[in-house]
Amino acid sequence: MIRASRNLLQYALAVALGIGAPVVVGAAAHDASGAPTQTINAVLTAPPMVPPPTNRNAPAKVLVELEVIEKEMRLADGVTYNFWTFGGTVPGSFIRVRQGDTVEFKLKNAHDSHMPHNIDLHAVSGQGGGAEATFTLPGHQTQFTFKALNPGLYVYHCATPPVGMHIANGMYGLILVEPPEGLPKVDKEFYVMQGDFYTEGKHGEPGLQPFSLEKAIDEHPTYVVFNGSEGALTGDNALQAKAGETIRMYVGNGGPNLVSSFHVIGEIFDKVYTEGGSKYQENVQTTLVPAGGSAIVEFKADVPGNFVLVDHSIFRTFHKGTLGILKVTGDKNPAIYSGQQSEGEYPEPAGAKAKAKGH
Amino acid sequence: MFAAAVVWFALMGTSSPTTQADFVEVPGGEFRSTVRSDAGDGPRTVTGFAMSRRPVTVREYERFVREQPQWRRDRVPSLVADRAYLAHWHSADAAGSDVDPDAPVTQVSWFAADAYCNSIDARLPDWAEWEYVAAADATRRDARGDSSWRARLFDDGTPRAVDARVDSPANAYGVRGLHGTAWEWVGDYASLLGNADKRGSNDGDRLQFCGASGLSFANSDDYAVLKRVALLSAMEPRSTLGNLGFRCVRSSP
Repeated sequence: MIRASRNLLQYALAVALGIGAPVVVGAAAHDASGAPTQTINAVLTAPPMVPPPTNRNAPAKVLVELEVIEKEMRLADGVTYNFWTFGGTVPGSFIRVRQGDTVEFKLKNAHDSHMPHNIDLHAVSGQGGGAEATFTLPGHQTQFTFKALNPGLYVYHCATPPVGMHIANGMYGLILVEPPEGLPKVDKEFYVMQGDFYTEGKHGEPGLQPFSLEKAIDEHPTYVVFNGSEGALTGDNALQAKAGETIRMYVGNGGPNLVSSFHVIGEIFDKVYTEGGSKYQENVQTTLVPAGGSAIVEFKADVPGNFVLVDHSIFRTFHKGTLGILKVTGDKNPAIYSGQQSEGEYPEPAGAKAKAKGH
Repeated sequence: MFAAAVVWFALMGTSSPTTQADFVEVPGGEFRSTVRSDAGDGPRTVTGFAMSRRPVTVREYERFVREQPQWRRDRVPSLVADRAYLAHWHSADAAGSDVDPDAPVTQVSWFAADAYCNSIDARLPDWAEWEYVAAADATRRDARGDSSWRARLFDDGTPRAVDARVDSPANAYGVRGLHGTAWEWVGDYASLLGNADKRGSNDGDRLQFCGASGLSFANSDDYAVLKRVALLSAMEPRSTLGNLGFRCVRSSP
């Protein structure tokens, strides 16, 4: 499998060398049953990267191979957590296929996992979304095949009992099923997925933090973050764009509990494919992303600046971590946004002091 | 090492590689399992039995393989043990110096574990027996109501497990290692699904489904037990895992 890299530099290199594009691994004559003519290895990417468009005018057989890895990773500065992952990241690897594709899905469970895992893809029409077919022991692999009947942006997640714990440990991600004609071309695409985390220690308490079942049942998360940790989309990890570029964000919400009021401060979404479906709403400020749901948001970065991604259920943002930055560089456009034009004292109205004293 | 072996042989006195002293009597009692049974989720009576104080060790299992060479990894039929069976051992009848001889033996199939227990005139514990004893912490026979105790059990089957520490105390019955780095087989693990053939039946395996899984448990908050049942329910009797071992019990006479 071609795995797109975990860092931007490698990703850029792969694209430049043409190996980031889907690779045709086998071609057969179109048979009488109308089976796909091509077999393709899916490109999987770590967040915030998105695989390139499928760019096909015919369905294919797409091979997806995803490995479940349990590992300790950073949740916040000085704080780690035993995450369970699809592909080594939270959220898991982004999968991109085309409507009508036949997807041969292989789930591997790493040898050092301590639990069986499976995958329920909301893009699957079939019992359990593939969960039953992929119940996989440590050191084992399972496979099933599904046809991508409906276009849209779909959540996938682990559905092994206890389901809540598997999701709370980070076992979710997104699979995009493009419509046959593809999505309109944009300059930049990003993968942003919210999740809530429940730790025994308080927010910011350092060290390896165990899962808190009580907080999870009470729906009182210690952390609510984008892309698996505080700071996953800030500082050096900020999303990058240039003024004038069109941007599409594939926004998911793994939950397990909270719904998200997704908002980008200082931007208006030109289009929101509500709930990750086919219809779009226009000129939206904040869009609701359900737990286990998604939205596709599109906008043009008209002017430069640091645009802040938040869950507008705002205490989460400033106290639990749902904060990301889209850093837009480029020339200022005062006709659209002036920046501060003046600053000065505001003269008190005449007689106000006397009036106040008189009472 | 030599001295220890002499003491070992002196203690044995029978053909059994494990002495009676390794077992502790567990008095019977009423117990409400986390897993719902066909009889409902009310309390059930667990009859008294004897349980080995610790999981079967690598050293003990080496001895078994030498006495019953049909259980060597190079002779065992694939029908009763998968390819990973004892695959980490140095040779077919010796674990080698990289494996701690006193550690619980792992990468053993249910068939092999069952055969081992039979070889010492014992059997694998039933789930109810295992859960009954494993409900105890160091001082209480049923510590399950204590959320902090429960929370610590999330790490069962990992190196962070409660009983992974060398100095971890025995539980209130005098049994060790139930919440260790390795999970443990139980004799009736397949019946946890309430279905003889848990693969491919019409209503499927309830435990594998998101929505239905909660229905199978009398106490859906006991995630540590749910994790263990999920693990066991994924197993076939020939399966082996790097963190799955076993212990034996004897019915009370």
